[in-house]
Amino acid sequence: MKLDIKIKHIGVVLLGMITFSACDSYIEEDIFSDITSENFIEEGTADQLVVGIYSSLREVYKDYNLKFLGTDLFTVKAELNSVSAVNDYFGFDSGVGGSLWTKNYDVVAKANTAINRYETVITWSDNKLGDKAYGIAQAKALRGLAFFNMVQQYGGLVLDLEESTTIRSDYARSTEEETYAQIISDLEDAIPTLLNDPETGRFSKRAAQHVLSEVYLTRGYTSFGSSDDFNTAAALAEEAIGSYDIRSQSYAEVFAYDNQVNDEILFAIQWGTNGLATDQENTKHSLFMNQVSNYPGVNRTTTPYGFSDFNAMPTPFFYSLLADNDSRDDATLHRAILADGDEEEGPDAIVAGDTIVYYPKVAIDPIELAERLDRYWVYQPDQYLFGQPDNVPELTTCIL
Amino acid sequence: MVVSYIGYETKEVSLGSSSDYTIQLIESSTGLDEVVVIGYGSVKKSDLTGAVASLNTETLTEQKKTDIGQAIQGRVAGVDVRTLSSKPGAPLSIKIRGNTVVTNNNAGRDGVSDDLADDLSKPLYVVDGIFFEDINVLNPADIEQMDILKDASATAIYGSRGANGVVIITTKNGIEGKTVFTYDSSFGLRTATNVPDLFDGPEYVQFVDDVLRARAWGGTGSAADYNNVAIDRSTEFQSSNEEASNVANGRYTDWMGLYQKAGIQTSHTLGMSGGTNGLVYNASLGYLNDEGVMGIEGYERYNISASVSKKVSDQITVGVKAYLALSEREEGSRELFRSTLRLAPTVNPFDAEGEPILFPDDQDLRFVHPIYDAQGAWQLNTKSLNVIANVFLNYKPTKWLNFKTQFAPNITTQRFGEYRGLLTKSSRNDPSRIQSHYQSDFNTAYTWDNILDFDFDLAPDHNLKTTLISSIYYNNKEGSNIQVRDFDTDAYLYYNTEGGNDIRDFDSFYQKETLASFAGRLNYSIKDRYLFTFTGRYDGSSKLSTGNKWNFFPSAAFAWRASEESFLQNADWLNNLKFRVSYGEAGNDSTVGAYSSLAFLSQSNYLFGENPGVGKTIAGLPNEDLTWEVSKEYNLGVDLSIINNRVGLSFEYYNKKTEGSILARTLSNVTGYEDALGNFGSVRNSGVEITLNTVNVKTDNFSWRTNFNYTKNTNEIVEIDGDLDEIPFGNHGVLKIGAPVDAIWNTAVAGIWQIDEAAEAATYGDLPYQYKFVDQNNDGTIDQDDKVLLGQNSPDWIGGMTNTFNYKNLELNVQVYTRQGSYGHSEFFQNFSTSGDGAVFNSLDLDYWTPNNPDGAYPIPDYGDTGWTYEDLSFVRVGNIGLGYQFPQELADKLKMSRLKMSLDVQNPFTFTDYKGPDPETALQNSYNMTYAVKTVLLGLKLAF
Repeated sequence: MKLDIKIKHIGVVLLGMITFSACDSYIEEDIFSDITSENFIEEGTADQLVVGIYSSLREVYKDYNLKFLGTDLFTVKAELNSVSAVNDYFGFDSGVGGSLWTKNYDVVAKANTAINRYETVITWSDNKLGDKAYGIAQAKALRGLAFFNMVQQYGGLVLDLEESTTIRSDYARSTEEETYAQIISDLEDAIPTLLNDPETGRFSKRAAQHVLSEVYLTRGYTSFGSSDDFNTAAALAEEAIGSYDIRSQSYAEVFAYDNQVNDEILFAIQWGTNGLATDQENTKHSLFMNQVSNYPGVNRTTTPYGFSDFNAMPTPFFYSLLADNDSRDDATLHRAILADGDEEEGPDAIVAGDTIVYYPKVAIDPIELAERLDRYWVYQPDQYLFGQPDNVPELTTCIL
Repeated sequence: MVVSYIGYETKEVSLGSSSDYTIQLIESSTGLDEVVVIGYGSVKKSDLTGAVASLNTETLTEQKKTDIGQAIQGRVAGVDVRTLSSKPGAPLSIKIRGNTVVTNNNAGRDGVSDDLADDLSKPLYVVDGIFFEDINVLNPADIEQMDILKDASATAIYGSRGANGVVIITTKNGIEGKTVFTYDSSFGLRTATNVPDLFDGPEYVQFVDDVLRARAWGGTGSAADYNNVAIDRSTEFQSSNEEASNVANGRYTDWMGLYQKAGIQTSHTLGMSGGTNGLVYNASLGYLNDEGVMGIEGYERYNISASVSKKVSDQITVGVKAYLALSEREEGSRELFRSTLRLAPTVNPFDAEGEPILFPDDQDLRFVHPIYDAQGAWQLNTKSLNVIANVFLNYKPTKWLNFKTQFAPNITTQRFGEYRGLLTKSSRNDPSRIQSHYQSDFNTAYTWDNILDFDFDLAPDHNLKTTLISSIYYNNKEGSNIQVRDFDTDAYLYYNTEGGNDIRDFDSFYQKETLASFAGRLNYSIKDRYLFTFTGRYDGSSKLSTGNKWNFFPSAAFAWRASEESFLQNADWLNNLKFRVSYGEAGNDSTVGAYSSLAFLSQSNYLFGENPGVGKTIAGLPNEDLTWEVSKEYNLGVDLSIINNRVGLSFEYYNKKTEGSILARTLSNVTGYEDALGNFGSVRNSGVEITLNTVNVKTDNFSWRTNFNYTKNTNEIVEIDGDLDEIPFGNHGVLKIGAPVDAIWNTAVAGIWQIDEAAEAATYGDLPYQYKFVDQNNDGTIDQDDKVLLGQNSPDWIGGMTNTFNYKNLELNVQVYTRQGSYGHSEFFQNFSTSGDGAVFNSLDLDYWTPNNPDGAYPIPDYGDTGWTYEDLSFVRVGNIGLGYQFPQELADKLKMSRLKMSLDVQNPFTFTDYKGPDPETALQNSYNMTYAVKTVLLGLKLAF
């Protein structure tokens, strides 16, 4: 057979193979077990991206180490010879001090993503344009809040406002002044659209005004601030207060467990009792509690004392802020820990209602002390510090 | 008539008037006429241009191994086979020419995973045309031929899946002729071997005293202080469970011995094959029952295969094949082995009434009596059904043109059940800890190949063979997973997950991947001497992002059959001399998971007052540029055969550079993401392989043959990411330019601090009789900067040798294999070395240091523990000693048989190693779910009629 006839045969068969063989549609992906933004986020579900920003705020406000330690109000609950980087500003490197940066940038990145999707990706019908503006306003306000959390600690920030879609390493920090300008711009953009009285937990207009007021107040003290900033801050604070009368609730009422939604709370991170929003991760209410499981007759779950998993405690300065007749003392401190169950064991049986521990506000005299110590533990106000050596007088003063 | 068959000399018989002929084929001595399957076709071995090893059914079944991995272990150059677990039915790790994946060892754990699905550098298996994973469900006796494509010029025809070598398995086909029945059977005993030497009773008591003494002495003071220190045994030998009294009276328990047992292994394979008038058929039925050496461990496998093909006309042949494998693997308790090793010989197993003591050791109340594990309190059961089928139509309109279309589906369904009953170490007699797991998977896959072959001479002496292929591959996995805890009864096992109160997992999943491919191969030969092969495959994969789906994998090879040249025709001693050179590119499909180019949304719910708010966040950066890791490999080969083919030598050199290794790059926190995957790194594997087959002695009655193989592979990281040259990796590793991917990275041990070095030791915070680490930078502290390369998991070299002696009808073979230079963290030592767990547990009988034993090799017990437990895992192992007797033909004829053979095999009889754990092969694994190394003595029967 001649070669050209063969080539014809080959050609025919090749053509046949190509026509029945695969085309690109064969190699498309089918996904059921996961969702991508491309196949899920549209105008009806866009708010879920905004909800995602609120979720990431939980971590920001759980950064207890940076929030409390190293301040004049709180200190570590540890032996004198121990070293805490955050509390003692020793070995305070990026691994320790970077968590605030990471957690707040998580909020910023999610806000950037939401803003980008809202503005450029999602197709909006006319009757949904209000949702669009409201979503963007929330995202910008939360971004401003996160930037503000960071600028106070780190100064000028990376003002990257785009959604991250590629691997980059060329981020540059702006000046502190530019950062403040961005925060103000974000909050000012958001305020007109935010709601006066939104769903509980959403960022309200008053909350944004409050933050912006604080921004101006803080900027006023910087080298690039002006005295106008203080006036603006005051005006914004007035707007945030609005018609609320601070005398309408007592201090104890404002912070009562069963009154968490009230007009004096402008914005609070939300936790629930069960299910998806379980508050098991949230221990903020019990950070400075007594470790009651150490005491007989006191149940962890049925008393208000909770338990403590945070290695910190108030400083003497904290206690000094509460004057003798300060009603906040009673609302803030458990001066007496009472048993709520019977305890048979031990030389003295305990019955519900017995005092187990007592922390007097002012030192009690030795006679009364001896009488009380016969019945329960008593810690005098100067006995709170942990590991304080008794016999080194020069040290006792310096750790205060 | 011409009769030809793989591995046999072609024979021409002139037909006379008779209708019955018996034609005896002679085994091909050269092997050059063997047909080697090279993917979508086959070539004569003499025409091969790439590096391919071919194993026939005789080789695969001669040692009566029940698993393909075992059957080829130590027998093929370039193929490193390692036992991951000695429990029955456990798959073996197979690696061809090293590890190409930069992050392939389990970084986070203290043991390398037993699960082969975690190995991203495993070869591609192709069984009867379908990509397949669970090759240990196949019965080696059902395999006609296994071809291992090693270099990229050979594997490039598999494109994006060929980078780690390709193993092509062809199951048996019928042979035209009268119906032949075959029956293979074996029966034997499996027993624990190479049992680790732990302290017996008196040794343990001495050890406990040494622990207490070391603890009390604390490394300060003199040797005399050590000997004078007062010790209090009461914490270690407690009054409960008669422990103190046992010690005083020398009554001890051999916990290991109590729970070792002999397991029975039985196998039967019944086969039938034959055909007339172009209709050929083959069928087989196989059964394997393999019992473990502890508890309820076992493996049971049923195999059924059937194949029929019919030559319908001179042009058309059609055929259908089906292979079924049903297997059930029971791993028993994950803790039985470890518990029986740990329990102190000083505690009683049974009370006065002979009842097991629930917690035998008061010192550790996590240890429930292992008898319950042995009886099945903890079950780990995998049941799977694999169906492989194959339908083809072959159309050969003319002599030079052939078209084949082949559809090969594979359906696998698997059920995994795990039950951790009340009386297990996991549950500790606490019902709320009882766990029940039920996982089911259903996998559907198929390939459809269309193959067009042209074969003609362009001109005299110029032959061109062209193969054009179009292929599609579909693979869908779906399944569900349930985990429930807290049961008030053990009655349900994993069959009633609703019976538990604490629901942990309930999930289902779906995953699909598809591949569309075009491929071609050109074989061009000039005068049968100059052989050129060009292949290319164009693969489009669903796993890559749109616009990035298609990739091309080319290869080229040239071979020169020098022995065919006229100037060598007169060299009588030379039978074959061939030089080969090749280059090819192939990808690794395993490192790119389905959907890995996409950015998924993750649930991020919130609460607004009392109202749940559904939230989503984007879980990561999309990886639109993510693509295959591509291995680019050069291969040089020489095949030499001399002195009437009595000496055959093959030599290969390869250099395989894998580019685009997938690594996670840490992202700036500004992005809100932690890291992103990309093709950033590069790894090189290079090495040599030598295969030497010799017939040392050959007389009429006696012959001695030796098959020898040697492989040395060197692995090194060429690039990590940009300018980075070192990243710590996992607990024991590092990713470092120039170091192997599985490097062990830690401080080096210079010896052990002696008492007279106490002052110097103190400057490092160490005490006498602890390890003395090398202060590489002489800065007075031992820290991260003093870490060096200590070795690597993969061996420096591997080798194997089989000697076969034939005397008349008697055959003796001895197979030995070795892995040298494998080094790694031994989790077993972490648990069982003398410096590990104080005196609570029994320990390996190691030569530890004390002031009275200043030449000991291991640190002092108790405070000597520094967590440094790295061991050399080199070994030489006798894989098999086999004795076979082929009954004389006259006797067989009388029994109306065509063949009758009996055999006695001793598998895994001896291991020579310095490693003191149960098995140097499994030493990289975690001791959780470990068991003893196993020796098997098997009687075999093989007959055909």
